[in-house]
Amino acid sequence: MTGLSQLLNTAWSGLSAATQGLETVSNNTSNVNTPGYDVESVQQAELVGTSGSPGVGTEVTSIARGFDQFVFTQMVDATSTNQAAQVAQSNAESLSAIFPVASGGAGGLSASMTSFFGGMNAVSQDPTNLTNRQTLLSDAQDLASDFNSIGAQLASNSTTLNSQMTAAVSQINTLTQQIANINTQLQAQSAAGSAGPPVGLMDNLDNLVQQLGQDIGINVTQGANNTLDVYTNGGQVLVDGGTSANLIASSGSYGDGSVSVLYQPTGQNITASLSGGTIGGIISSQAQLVATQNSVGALAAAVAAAINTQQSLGLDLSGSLGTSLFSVGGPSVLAATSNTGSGTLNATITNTNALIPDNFIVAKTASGYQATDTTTGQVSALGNGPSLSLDGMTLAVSGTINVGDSFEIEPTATAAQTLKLIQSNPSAIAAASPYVASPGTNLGNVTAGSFSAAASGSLPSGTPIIPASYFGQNLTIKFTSATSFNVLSSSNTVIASGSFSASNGAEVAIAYPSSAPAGEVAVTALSPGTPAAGDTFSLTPGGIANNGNIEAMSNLSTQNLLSGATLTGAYATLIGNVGSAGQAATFAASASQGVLSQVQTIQQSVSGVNLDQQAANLVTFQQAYQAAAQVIASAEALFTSLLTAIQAA
Amino acid sequence: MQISTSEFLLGSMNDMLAQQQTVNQLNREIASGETMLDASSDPGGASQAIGLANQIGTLAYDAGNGSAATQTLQNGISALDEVTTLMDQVRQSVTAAANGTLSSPERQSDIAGAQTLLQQLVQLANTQGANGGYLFSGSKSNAPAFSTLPNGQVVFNGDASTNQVQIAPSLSITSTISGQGVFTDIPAGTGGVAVSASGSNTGTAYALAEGVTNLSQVTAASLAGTQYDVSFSGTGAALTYQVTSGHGTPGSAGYIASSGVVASGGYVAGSNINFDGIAIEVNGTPAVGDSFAVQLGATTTIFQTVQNLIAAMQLPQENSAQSALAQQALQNVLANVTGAQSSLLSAQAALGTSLSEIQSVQTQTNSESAGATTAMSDLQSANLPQVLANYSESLTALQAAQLAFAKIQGLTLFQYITP
Repeated sequence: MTGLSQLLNTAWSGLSAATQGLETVSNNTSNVNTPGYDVESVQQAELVGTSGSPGVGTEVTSIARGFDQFVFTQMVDATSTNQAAQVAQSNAESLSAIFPVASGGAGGLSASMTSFFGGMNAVSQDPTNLTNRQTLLSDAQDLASDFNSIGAQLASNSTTLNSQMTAAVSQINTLTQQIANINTQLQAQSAAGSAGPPVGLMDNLDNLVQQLGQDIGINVTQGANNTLDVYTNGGQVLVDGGTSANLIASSGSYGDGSVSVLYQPTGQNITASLSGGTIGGIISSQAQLVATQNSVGALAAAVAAAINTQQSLGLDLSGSLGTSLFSVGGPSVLAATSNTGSGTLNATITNTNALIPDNFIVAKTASGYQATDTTTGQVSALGNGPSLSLDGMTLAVSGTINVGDSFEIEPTATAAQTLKLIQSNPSAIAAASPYVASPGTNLGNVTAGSFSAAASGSLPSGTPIIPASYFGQNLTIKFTSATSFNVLSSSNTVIASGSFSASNGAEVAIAYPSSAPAGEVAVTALSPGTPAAGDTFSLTPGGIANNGNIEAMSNLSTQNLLSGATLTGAYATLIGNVGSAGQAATFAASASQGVLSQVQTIQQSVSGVNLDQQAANLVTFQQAYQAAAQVIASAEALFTSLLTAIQAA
Repeated sequence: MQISTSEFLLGSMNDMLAQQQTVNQLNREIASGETMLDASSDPGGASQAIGLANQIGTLAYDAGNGSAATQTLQNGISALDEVTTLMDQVRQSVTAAANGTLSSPERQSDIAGAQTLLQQLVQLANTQGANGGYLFSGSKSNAPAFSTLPNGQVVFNGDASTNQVQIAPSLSITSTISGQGVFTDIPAGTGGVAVSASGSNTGTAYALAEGVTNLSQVTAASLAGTQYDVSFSGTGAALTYQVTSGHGTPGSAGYIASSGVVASGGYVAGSNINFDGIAIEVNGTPAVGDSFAVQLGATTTIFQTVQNLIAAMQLPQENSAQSALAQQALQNVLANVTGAQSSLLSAQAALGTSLSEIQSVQTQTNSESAGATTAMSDLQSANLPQVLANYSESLTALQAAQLAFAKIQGLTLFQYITP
């Protein structure tokens, strides 16, 4: 068909295309701030006429959206990584806020420790002064309270992480269902034979997938009919076409403090395989939190063990051996819910210096018990029991444990929270040495040093050790010749004897009763020199003014008590670790933010709406519309002039 | 490359937020005066600061220990000063009595004086510190160090315990002193050699321990429990002496003369008799059969010395033999007073050493503490000129970012087209 009616048809097609163009501009400008919106554009093609004639107008072939699969994948990954880094950073910030460092940690745990050991100085100066003793007890109470408060804050951080985890898991489940729904709609539309690609639905789908990436690290593959399939970084299927799989937040195989993620279809614990997104950030924060809890706990356990031991080695104001100042919770042992045996493990800390502040899984295998460090993954064989030794702990097996049964051991997870001062009587501080030696009217020049506590194994061989049954009696060392001496009980019976060397002297030890750690003895050194037969030293319990034991207690502050470090040293290391983790989290967050911004810029250049461009398009389509309308007007004028000509003729 | 409108505005807004964060951080630094606001801003520095704060705290406690120990030590020194003064008075009494020129009433008043001195000495030995504890009781500070038995003997109730306190990292001093070794256990005689006259002597001689000429020989003899007996025989003109050694107290029933005669010779009044590394001097004229016991390694107490003085002054001096015995007793007291004074001196010296150690270590502690404080301030304190400069820089940048945002938000083509 040619002629005037074709002219009208052609102009009409232009008018229609311009209208669609204007509609697109209108839609683009309306969605300028819509998240996930991809800029749309009209794809036009010329309608070809018959041979030798001009074309017969234009048609809109499709509405295209600015979308690039590669950029989209990058965008999902960058969002996921950044979200993990941001979550980790904010948790690291709240963790490091628990440990104040301003002014050298004023008001923090280290300051309390310094005051506590400083308080011992005052008692040491004047062991009979009850005010000084009371001050030391207050310092001890402050120290315990500081530990408790740090423990409580860490526990509250752990609760927060757990609820974040639970919320993230439930959001993931909602999003995967929505994605599956859209996939179903896309499949249905395709089956119904819809004309063009359903850009709106696809935009929605992309947006949901990107939101899912915020929660968890995912891999996305393109399915048939523009659908998307989603997998976790660990490879578990989250969305497959129109079906989605649920995740479950659960307290894990051992029911410990950290919430784990289970994959519902298999019931498998997939926490370890997950990374990225809020979930990934939480998992790395959980690890950091557990490490911090264990380190602070180890510090609390070391303080309690060292002070209590020293207490048991000295005499209090009433002249009795001291009793513990602190009580502290021991290691937690959590049996796996899958255990088939009814046996249990009982863990106690025996040496804080050998303690590794990590959690362990102890499992019974066919070849005996085996411990796995959950932080380092290191596996060590522990033998067959019934008493197992593990890094400064003793595990006692009771009952029947079957092969395949396992337990999680948390050596010091609760120690900081459970540290408690259990003495309120200032007299109970054991400041005095158990014994003092006073020379008799001696002819020789041998002197006896002050008593100190030692392990019996560390004494020179041949040192006489007086049995614990004589502990607390007045005893006498009496030289029988220049090279030998006896030790006499209060009833003058010989209970031990030893040999004396003019060049090396000798040592005399008294075994502590069973209230003190096994093998501990109180020992005094007889100086090298020349004794006369008949020279004596009387050994009497230390009086109230003696400060030997409180000095030894105060010196604990400079001794390596915890994994080869002093208490302050261990705390400084802990601060360093928390700080380093915080710093690394800050760097990672700012780096991932940078990457995300870059990807966002690229993504926006492909998919974003530029209003200036839309304004230009608006003018273009408007002019096209006006021009097409003008053509129609011209055609009408032509018709009119034709009709007029006919009427006139 | 096309830039989307929202990206355009968002990017500009992010720039502003970043600047605001910097301004906020600097604001906190200026307000608190510290750059290290949490551990993650400088993990290594934070860890170091914890150590430094502990060092500063510990040094302060050590210094506090030093000051408190100074107080304790000064209490001890002043008590011993007073004891020294009393012992000077004892010495004067002995010297006056030994002159033999005192009238009987004078002697009686001196005896009364000595008895008062004895009471004062016991009182001083039971000096109490600020906290009510007895200074010289050792660890048993809740009981008086010395008490007087019904028979007049003054006995020590404490023990030999002394306290060590830390006044600087790994430096401890002795802050207390026990009465044992100061008031008691004083070597009797001169250099551990004590001479006494037999009560049955009839001559006019008295003996003095001159001293030790061979220390190792005397020490060996002392350890072996060897004692000596010096006796005289012959006739008035040709008097000879003989020294025998043995074990036990010479003159007592338990004395065993084991090794026989160790020295003998003609007696010359006032000249030394030497044997086994010991020199004694006998003055006056002994009678045949008179003897002197020489004891090694005997000890006495300050109180016993004063009691001996009182006893010596109460001795009858009606004939020359009695005068000789009295003279012998007074000379022995004099030797023991000298011993007590030297024992007091060494005790005071020990306390003085502790005192001077506290003073010298205080300078060092102060400078260590100042060093640690400087190091901590280097780590934590904000360098205000620099922080303020950064602050004004950041403020300028923030203002610029805000201005840029205001400018670009007006940039749109829609303003210019009128469709």
